[in-house]
Amino acid sequence: MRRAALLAAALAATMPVAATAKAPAKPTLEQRVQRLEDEDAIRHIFIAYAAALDGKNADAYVALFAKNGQWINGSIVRKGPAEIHALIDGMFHNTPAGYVNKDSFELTFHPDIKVDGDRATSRSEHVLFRRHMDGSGLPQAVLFGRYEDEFIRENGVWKILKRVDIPTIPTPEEWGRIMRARQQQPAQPPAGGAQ
Amino acid sequence: MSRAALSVEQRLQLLEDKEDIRQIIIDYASALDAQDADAYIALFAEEAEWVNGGMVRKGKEEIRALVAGLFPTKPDDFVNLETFEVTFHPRIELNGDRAKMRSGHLLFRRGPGGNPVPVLFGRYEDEFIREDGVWKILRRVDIPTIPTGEEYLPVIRARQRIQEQHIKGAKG
Amino acid sequence: MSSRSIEERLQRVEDELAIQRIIFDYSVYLDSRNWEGFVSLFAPDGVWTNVEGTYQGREAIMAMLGGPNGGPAEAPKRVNYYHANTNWRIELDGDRASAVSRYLFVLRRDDRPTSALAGQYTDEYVRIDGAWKIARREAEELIPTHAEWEEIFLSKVRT
Repeated sequence: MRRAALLAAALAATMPVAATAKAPAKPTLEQRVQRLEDEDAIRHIFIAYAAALDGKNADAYVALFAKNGQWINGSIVRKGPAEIHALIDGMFHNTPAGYVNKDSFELTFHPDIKVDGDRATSRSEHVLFRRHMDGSGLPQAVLFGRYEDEFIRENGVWKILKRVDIPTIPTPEEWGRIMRARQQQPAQPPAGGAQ
Repeated sequence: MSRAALSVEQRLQLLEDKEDIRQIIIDYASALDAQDADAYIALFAEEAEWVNGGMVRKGKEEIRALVAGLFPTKPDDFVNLETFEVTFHPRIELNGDRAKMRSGHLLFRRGPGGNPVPVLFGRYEDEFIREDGVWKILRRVDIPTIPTGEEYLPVIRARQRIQEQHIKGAKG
Repeated sequence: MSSRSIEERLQRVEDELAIQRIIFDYSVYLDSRNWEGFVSLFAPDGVWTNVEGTYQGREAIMAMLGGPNGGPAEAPKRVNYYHANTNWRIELDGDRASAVSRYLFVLRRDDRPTSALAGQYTDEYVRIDGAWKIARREAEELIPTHAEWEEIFLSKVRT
């Protein structure tokens, strides 16, 4: 759908000159490769973001944001790397080197990316899986959420300018109650081996 | 056809075609999640077919009638708090202005505790056509797998009955 | 980035997609028990390893799977499990590449899909005669861990 204009331009370019007078310029090979590269680079950010959460790696997480990057979840707003670092530091306390998360993971999917020069927007989705609370050790889907993002190319590298995190199933209110209940539970014993 | 025989432009076109087809699947899942019949129909070719077991819908009008029944009227800012689809493994084979794709999907539904619960794993076997320069779904075959179509049908019927009762209840 | 030619840049996107495809095919062949397809994804001296053991070469990997089994290209209509791959991160380096990806293993239970296991693949790839092949795949169960998974599986077998 969003490429209709691009494809129309490509088709128009094969028509006689008179018919293409009003058509936008056909993108060059370089522009076409650039678009594929840009979308690919932004898809990498989604995966790196999930990996930073899974690995509880605050530095890797913050490095994905732009100088003026914002993180928003409901009424919680954090602006700039220092504020975002402070937010995440509280959650990722003293992660040992080589840590492998055996308690939770983020599955990210459906990146819908629209690039416009050095800016881009995207909507995507994620499911958070956690070790089941019933003690079985099985993975349980606990949260489906949506991201609505803005990106900026900063010194040639794509960065998150704004990430809006929208818990959806359960709703933010339900999720807040679940998180509070979880925090009141005694800490789970560490899972698995030392890997 | 060996890649060495292709020009840079032809190679680029192949990547763009695959990219556009992957985008259809993202748009498809998003239309389902948003229960947006217009967005859903727009993804199909004029002569499209939608197939699920013995159920076959041919042409945009038949497909529209199918989804119009499934998607209730809702506000513009509707957010689906009940279900969502995860799709994966899109394997695309291109052939000029035609393409085939096989993929998998997992449907989640809100569980009793509010958390998402997987309820259906299925496969898609699709055909695409480039129509006026834009890739469209020519044939979508939806294959419920866990549970199978036969197993899933009673679940769907039971859910429809509950919905009908709710509608009757609301009207009464 | 700009120092690369268009052809080189295109090549990188093609390489990444080719490796993505291997990640998908691996699970599809595994779920449809198409062992010939499965071992063909590996380099002739490719390695499959997990906490239980290491298997080098297509024959050894085939033997691990229980011998030749020409399953269908796609899963049969009624299946009891499948793997879904997500979150792949691919790093290219000429004719070599590495990747880390996630998998979710889903089992049929009471005629419903149940998420039963979440794990991670850590891969190395090599380009041989123009085609990407798995040089090494390490499979790691995470939720539950390998030990826990065995406990769950064995307790089912016992009962």
